[in-house]
Amino acid sequence: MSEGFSFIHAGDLHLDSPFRGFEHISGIDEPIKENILRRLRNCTFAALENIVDACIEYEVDFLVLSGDIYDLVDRSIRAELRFRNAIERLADRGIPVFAVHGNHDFDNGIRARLTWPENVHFFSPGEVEYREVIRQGEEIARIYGISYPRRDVTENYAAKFKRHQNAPFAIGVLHCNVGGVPEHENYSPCQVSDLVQAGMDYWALGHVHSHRVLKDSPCIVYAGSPQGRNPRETGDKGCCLVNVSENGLIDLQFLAVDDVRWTETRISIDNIQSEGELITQLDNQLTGIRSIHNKKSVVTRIILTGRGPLHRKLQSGAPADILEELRLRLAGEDGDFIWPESIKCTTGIPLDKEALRKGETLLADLLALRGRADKDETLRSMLRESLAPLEDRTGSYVSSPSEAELDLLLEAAEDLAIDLLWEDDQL
Amino acid sequence: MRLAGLHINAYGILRDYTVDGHELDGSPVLVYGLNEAGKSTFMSFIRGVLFGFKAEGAKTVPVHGGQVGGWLLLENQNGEIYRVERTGKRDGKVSVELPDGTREGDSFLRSRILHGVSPVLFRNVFAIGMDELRKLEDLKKEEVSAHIYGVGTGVNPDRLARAVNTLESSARDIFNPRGRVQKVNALLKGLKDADRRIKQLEQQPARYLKTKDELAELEEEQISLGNKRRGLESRKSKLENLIKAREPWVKIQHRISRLKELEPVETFPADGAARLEKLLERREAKINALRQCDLAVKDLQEALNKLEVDARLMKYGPQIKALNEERSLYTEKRQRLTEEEAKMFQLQEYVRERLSALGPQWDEQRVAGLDLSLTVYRTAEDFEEQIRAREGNLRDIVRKMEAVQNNLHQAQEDLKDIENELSSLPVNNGITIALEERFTALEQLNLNLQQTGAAEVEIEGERKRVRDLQARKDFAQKNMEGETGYAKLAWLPWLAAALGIAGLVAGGLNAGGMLLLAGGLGFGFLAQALLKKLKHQAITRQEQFQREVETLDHELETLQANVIALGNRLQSLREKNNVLSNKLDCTPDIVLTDLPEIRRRLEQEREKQHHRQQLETEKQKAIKELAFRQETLSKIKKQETGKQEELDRLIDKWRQWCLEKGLPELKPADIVSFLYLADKARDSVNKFKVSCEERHQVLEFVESYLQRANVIASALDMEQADRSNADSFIANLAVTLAASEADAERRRELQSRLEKAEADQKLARTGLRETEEHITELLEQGGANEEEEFRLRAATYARREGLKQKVDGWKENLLSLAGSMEEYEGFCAELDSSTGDHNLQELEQVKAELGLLDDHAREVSDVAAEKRLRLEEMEKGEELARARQDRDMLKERLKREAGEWRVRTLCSTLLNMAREKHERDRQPAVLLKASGYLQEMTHGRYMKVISPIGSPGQLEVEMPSGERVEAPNLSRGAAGQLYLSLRLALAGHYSTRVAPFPVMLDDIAVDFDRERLAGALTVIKEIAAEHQVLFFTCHRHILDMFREQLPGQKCLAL
Repeated sequence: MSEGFSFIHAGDLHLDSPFRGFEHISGIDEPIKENILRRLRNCTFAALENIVDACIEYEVDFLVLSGDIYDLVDRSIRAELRFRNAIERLADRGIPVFAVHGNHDFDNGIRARLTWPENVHFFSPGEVEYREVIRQGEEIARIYGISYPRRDVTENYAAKFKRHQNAPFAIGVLHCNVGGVPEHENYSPCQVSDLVQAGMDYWALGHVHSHRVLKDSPCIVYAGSPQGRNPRETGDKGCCLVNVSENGLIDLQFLAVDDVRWTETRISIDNIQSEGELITQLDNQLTGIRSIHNKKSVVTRIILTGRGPLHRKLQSGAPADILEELRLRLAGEDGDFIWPESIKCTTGIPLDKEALRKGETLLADLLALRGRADKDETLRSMLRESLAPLEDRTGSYVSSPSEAELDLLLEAAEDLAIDLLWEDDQL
Repeated sequence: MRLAGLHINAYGILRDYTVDGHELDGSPVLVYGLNEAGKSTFMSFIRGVLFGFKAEGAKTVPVHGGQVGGWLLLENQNGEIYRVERTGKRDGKVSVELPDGTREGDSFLRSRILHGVSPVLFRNVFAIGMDELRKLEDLKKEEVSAHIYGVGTGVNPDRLARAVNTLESSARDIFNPRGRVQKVNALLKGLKDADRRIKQLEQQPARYLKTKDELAELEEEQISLGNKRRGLESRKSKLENLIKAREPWVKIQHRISRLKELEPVETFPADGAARLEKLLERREAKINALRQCDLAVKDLQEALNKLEVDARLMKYGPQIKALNEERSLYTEKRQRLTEEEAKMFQLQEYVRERLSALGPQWDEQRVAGLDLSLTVYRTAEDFEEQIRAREGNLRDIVRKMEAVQNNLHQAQEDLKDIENELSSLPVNNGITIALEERFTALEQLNLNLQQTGAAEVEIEGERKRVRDLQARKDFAQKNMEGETGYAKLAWLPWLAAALGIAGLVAGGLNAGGMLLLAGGLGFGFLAQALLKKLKHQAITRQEQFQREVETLDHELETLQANVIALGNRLQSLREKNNVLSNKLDCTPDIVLTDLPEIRRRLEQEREKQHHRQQLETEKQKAIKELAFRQETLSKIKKQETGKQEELDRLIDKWRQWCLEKGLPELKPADIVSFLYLADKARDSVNKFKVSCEERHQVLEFVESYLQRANVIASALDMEQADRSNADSFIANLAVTLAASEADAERRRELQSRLEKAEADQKLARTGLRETEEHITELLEQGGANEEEEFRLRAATYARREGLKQKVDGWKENLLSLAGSMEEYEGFCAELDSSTGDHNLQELEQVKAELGLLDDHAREVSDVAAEKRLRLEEMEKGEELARARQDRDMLKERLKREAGEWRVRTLCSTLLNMAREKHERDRQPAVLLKASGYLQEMTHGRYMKVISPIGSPGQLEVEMPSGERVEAPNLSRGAAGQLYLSLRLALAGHYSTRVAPFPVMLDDIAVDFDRERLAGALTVIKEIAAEHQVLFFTCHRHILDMFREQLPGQKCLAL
């Protein structure tokens, strides 16, 4: 290499994939509602455009995409066409694109037979191949990649990679689960040692939606998803700008390219006496959110915590009114917005549950039973059985609660029982 | 308590009815009597005595007369008997006789015997008839129900019921397995609709590809149709052209035959005839032109010969012109010379005047040497300003000094006034005690005098009380001594005994004597008893008086001690008052009313003292002020001296500076005016010099001009000019010169025109010759020897060429219709081989074919456009994204609602489990006991009595199988057994926790069959072992069963 180069590494675009965990909006004017929903429908595309803008702004030498560009199951032509448009924009600037297919866009799906610009290369399914990146007649990097031929690849694809000795700078592009990250399907499972063994200088990984640097040398990086798509994917999302110096040193910079940001807003009701006070505190906190997140549009889930006198009011339908009030204050018919998505109450009556559990009252018996349900499998089965009618009817729409979810449900049921049976004057 | 006996004075149908204790020994006791025998009245009487007759209603009214009432004997666990008597109308009057013979009232009965048990509780628990047994609602009354229902749950039963109801209804609102409108059910329907729509939209990729393929096919077909159309269009066009070409084709054939008939003139000069005519015309024109040129040359030569020019004048032309141009300047300078000379003389006069204004010693040279720069001005102004400022300062200081001297004088006057006023104030009259100390003493004395007065009143009151108590003590002692009067009657028994003995002696040992003896002894005993009673009463009263005397003694001692203490305090106060009076310079016998006068005197003294202090302060201030003024005056004087010295130094400096600058010794204020005059004088001198210079320059110019004019005059042999007419002389010369120059110019022009005319003449001759040569050449080219022959040949050639041109034109037409040279031959061949009719027929056929083809092409184009539109919609459309977004939002809502339902369902399930556990494990002791009784009564048919949690007032019984039956659903007999069990359990519960009472059961077994009666009697026997049970019945079979099952037990007949 006579001089250094730069590239952008992005992954898991999931174009045109809908926001999950966003509840049906009611009680709001249609234009406001449509402004929010339209923005959410298009935010993955906006993130893609931001990636392309970044490529142009930083004058990178190429773009690497590490899989799951779109969801085959979504069968969206719009996604493929918008992706092709983005590639064409890069073609106009002479920026090549190297992409692999992941589990969501594996390479045998039904796909529109689009004519792709010559600047893009999709790596072959099932076998590692490589492409040289030539600049002014000189090879500056060699990119190795492999695409998924099907969704459930359980083979360790990392083991298939092997660097050539004469490669000036080797980049491996792979969609995989390193170290068995539990939140994601264990496709193409591998370990950091497998990746190190391949001898690459940079691993451009996809599949895990949060940005992670697994190792500095060789540089093993999950770019993360460029756009959060559900309440769990909070905080800034983006891609990686990789600057490689002439002697192969890597400078990694994370670029936030997300269009709409998910956050959680937590407020304790411990010292709050009235709904008005709660709304004021929420309003103040939410108004400050946008400046924290670079004035991006924000969808936030409000979580009320703590124990206090406001709990009873919150149990009698107050959160819906508060939500509507905040939405009217913070969102408009166009432009950016702060959207309080929902209010989750984890508040309670100020009492010592453990002390109550030890008593001989009916409520104590109930709490003791709930406590027993943590360990008593028979009791747990009986409780599960009581939920069966719903599961029989809802089928695939609502899955049976996992053990952890059942624990949360029991916790909520316990709190509800306290709400219903505990006399305030006993406080 | 157990019932140990009773007596009814009059109550309902019973009168003078007594039950002795032995009749009630043992338990249970069966009270048997037929209807109207008085069983219920018996029970009612017991309740009435305990709680009042009023509540018992009409039963209380005595049927056989007499006063309502009677008594009960109640025996406690220690065997002590309490006699409770109640008589009189309404609730009657209560009297409780205690075991020791003392009597108490109603409150004792309620608190110590009944222990607060209410009539309702007693009626429901201890004295139960059939009516009470079946009144389940009475059990709900708080004091009863608390022991039966839900007390142990820790939850208000109503709240629990509300909670259960809330859980069930809210869960039902969210989801119902068979419902349609519930939230979850409605969401499921919405989701299924959304899925169907998405499924349709998800066919997009396949549809997109199919549409793309179809579009490609259509586009190919469009190309094919286009090709075909172009072929037909081409043929149609050719046929149309053939039809169009048919007429020129025929004409061409006709012209070709005519050409063959004309004389062959194959070549001829182009436009030969016209060209010949033009050449002939040109030859004529050339001849005429040559003639004109000859005439012009001749005329010009003649004019030239007539013109002559003055060469000597023309030689001095430039000088004359130069002088003429300067002529006006000369005239002006000549005029200005006069003005400058006048101005110069005037300025010379000014200089003289200004120098004399400066002084006799001042001339132009000295003024020129003077430094009049801005610095000198500024320096002079600075000097003036500094000197003026210092003089001003000096004046200010002098004014200030005068003001300070005035102030000093005023301060001396003020001090003198204050000292005079101070000397006029009276001095202190020798009192050494400070005024504030005397004020404090006055306040203390005021307080002490008030306390002294109060102490005097108090001591007097105490003394009065001592006297009263002493009187009461004396009275009590007197009464105590008077209580020994009974001793005076001690003789009475002896007298009776003596009388009896005397009677015996007198009557003998007969009946009479014995009677007398007995009477005497009886009287004696009576007297003794009377005496004893009197003695007892007297001793009691003596003891009371003794206690009173002792109490009074104690109070007297306390009071006397008080009096002494008060006396001491009074003495102490008086001593303090004496000291304080001395301080205030008063007599010791001072009283409270004297104090205001003393206070007024002290206030006046305080005011004078305050005034003196103020004057002293003012005096000190005046002294300080005087010192300050003197010091200020001294400082100002020093300042004045300093400023005067500074001014003197500055004036010396000023004088020195004037000398250095060559200026006369003037005041600073005058020097600026002097400098200004000097400046003006120097300005006048300068102006005079400039004026002299200007005059000299003007004179020089005038003289030079005159000299140059006279040089020309000499050369032209003309008269010399002077200063006054030099300008007019030059003007005349200039006019003459201009005329000569015009003639010379005219001559040059004529010469030029002559040369041109000669050249034209030559050119005309050449042109004529060339034209004639062209005519000869053209005739040769046309194959003619003369002009007429040429014209005939030209006409023949033109006709042939006309025919040929027409043929060529039509051929061009045909060529254009044929399209190209390559196609032309074929086109002509087709014209030759076909006819017009043929062509028309074929054209119609082709047009028809084209019409059909266009229709088809339009259809294909429409279909293709539609497909393109559809593709575009699919590429840009976001219906799928929108539908998917809607579905996901519905799913999320469903998840939330499902979560809500699950929480409620789990809560409900846990609550049911907790209720079962609570009902099973934590039922109140009463229900546990009742369960045992019921099990025994029903021989195990029902195992348990349960109060369902959350259903206040409800009872259920549980069978061995665990099945539960609600109380209202039980048979009359079973329900009776349930209620009896419950009440017996309650009776036991109360007896152990509150107070034991006899349990009275009034024909409660009438609904029981034999088997259950036996069970009931077994239970009653069990209870009777611990509590007294009175079992009332009017039924023989019950009596028999009782006797059979409980042999040896007492049976009381009414």
